[in-house]
Amino acid sequence: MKLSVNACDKISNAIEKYSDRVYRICFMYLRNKAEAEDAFQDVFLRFMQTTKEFESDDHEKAWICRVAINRCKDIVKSLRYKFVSLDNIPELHFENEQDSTVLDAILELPPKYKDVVYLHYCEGYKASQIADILRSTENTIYSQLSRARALLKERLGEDYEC
Amino acid sequence: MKIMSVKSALESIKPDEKLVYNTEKLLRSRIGRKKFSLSKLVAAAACLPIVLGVLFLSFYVYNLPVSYISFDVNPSFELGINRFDRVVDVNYYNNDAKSLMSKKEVYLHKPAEAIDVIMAELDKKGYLPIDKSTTIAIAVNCKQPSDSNKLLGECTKNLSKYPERINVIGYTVTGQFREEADSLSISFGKLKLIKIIQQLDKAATVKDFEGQSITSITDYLSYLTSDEYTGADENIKNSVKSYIDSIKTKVDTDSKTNTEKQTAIAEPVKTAVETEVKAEVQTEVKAEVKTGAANETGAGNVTTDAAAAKATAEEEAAKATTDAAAAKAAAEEEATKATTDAAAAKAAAEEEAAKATTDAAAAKAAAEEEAAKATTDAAAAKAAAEEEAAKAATDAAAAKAAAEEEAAKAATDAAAAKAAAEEEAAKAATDAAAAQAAAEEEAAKAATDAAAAQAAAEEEKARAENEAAEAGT
Repeated sequence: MKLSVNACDKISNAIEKYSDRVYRICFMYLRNKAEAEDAFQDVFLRFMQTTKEFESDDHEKAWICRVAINRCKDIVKSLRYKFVSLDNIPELHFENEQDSTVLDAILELPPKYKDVVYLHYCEGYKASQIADILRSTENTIYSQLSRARALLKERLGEDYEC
Repeated sequence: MKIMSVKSALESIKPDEKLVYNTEKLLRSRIGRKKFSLSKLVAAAACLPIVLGVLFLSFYVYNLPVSYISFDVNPSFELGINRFDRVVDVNYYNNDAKSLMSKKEVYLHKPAEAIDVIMAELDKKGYLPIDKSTTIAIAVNCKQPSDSNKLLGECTKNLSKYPERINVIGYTVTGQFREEADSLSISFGKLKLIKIIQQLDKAATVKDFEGQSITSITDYLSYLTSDEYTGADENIKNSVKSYIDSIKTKVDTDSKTNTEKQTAIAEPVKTAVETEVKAEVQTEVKAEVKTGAANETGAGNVTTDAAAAKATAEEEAAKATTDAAAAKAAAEEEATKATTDAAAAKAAAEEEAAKATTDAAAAKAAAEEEAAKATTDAAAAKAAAEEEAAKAATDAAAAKAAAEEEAAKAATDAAAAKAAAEEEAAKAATDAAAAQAAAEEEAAKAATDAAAAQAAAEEEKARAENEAAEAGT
């Protein structure tokens, strides 16, 4: 089937704008490159299939983050994921050793803390915005951020910054 | 020591270029395709039995016969008709039927079309010989009797294509009768005829007739209802005869086209008129008036039937027939008048003769002789009067027969028929007038003779008295 110019542009733009974000969320949650790649493709497929009219770019970005998080949660809950042996999960190697250490610490966080850490520190969302995306309350987000910081501090010591 | 940054660590996670490329390729290939939905599939699967059920039910209802037509010649069929007036089933009751045609040749045809197909096959395979007449039985069974009659009419309407070669009898039966026939593996049309035979011939069984053609069965029925056969009560014979006649008439009326119908009805009427007139002239002139009235009714039927068929030609024919009937009626009226007059003259002559006889008896031997002569003359006058009356009646009958003939011809040449009828009527009137005049003349002659006889008797009496007086002197 021949795609329209609009559809092609939409695909290119979406991948250019959101590929890094989506992949990060997927990887943080799933800690597995193969699973993360599957989830990554699923998220973009949903994005292209949705008929939702977005009010703004921010709205679009928040929607895609939400979809990515939900998709990852679904995978985590699935039987297939539960039976993946931890031995099969490849070790993460980053050129920067410090980054690797921090990432290990973040990935060890409980999922609910990973969400807020990513959205706050990487995407720069405020607590109220995170509450909207995760459909939670602002106070909850504050307390989750506080606990996440405490855990990171515990694991990384004093030598890290947000 | 370096400060570790969460943001920097998270930003170091990036997708491979290959993943991005594959994803873009995947999206381009997937977009535009309809998304596979398990829920839709489940819904469709759930609907499938319902759809199949409805389809099956529709098929079943469509193919369920609600009416049946039994068609028997020697090939014996039963056609099942569905509620949409289409043939959906064919039952064969003998091998002739099986070899004649297959079900698909009439499947989903209308009953009349199916009958056409069957008739064509019968004709093609020699079941309708040209040199002799074949009888076909068409029986119908519907839930409602009115539907049965309607369907029967439909079936027989196209059979006029073979008017010289087939006789059709048509009748309706009940559902219970059809089931009984079904249980005996015989068509209900044939079973009905066998049942009628069994009323007249107690020894007859279904087995005896199940392999026979309808022509044979109806021939046997004709024998059973004839005077030759004495094995059945006359009342039963008469009722069977009238039933057979009624089912024959019914089909003929329905099946013949207007011209054929007119001929078919007019010919027997004409023949009947001729026969009746001949017989009745020999016995009683009086009864002829009644027969004439009956003939008029027959002619009226012809006119009515003809009028019901075609528009313009029928109107002409009806007009001509009416004129001819009027002429015939006038001729008959004249004949009746002549007959009445002749009878009156005869009565007068008889009265005069009786009077003369009484007078002559009172006179002497000569007077008696004269009286006897007068009586003889009166008898001769009476015979002549009767002869004249018979002649007048014969002429009237001839005029009437001619009028009937003219009526039959009327469809083709109305004006000629009218003229001929008028001519015949005029002739009849003239003859009647002549007959009347002759009768009157005879009556006058008889009266004159009687008066002469009386005068002679008186003269004789006077002479006898004179002779007696002279003798006394």
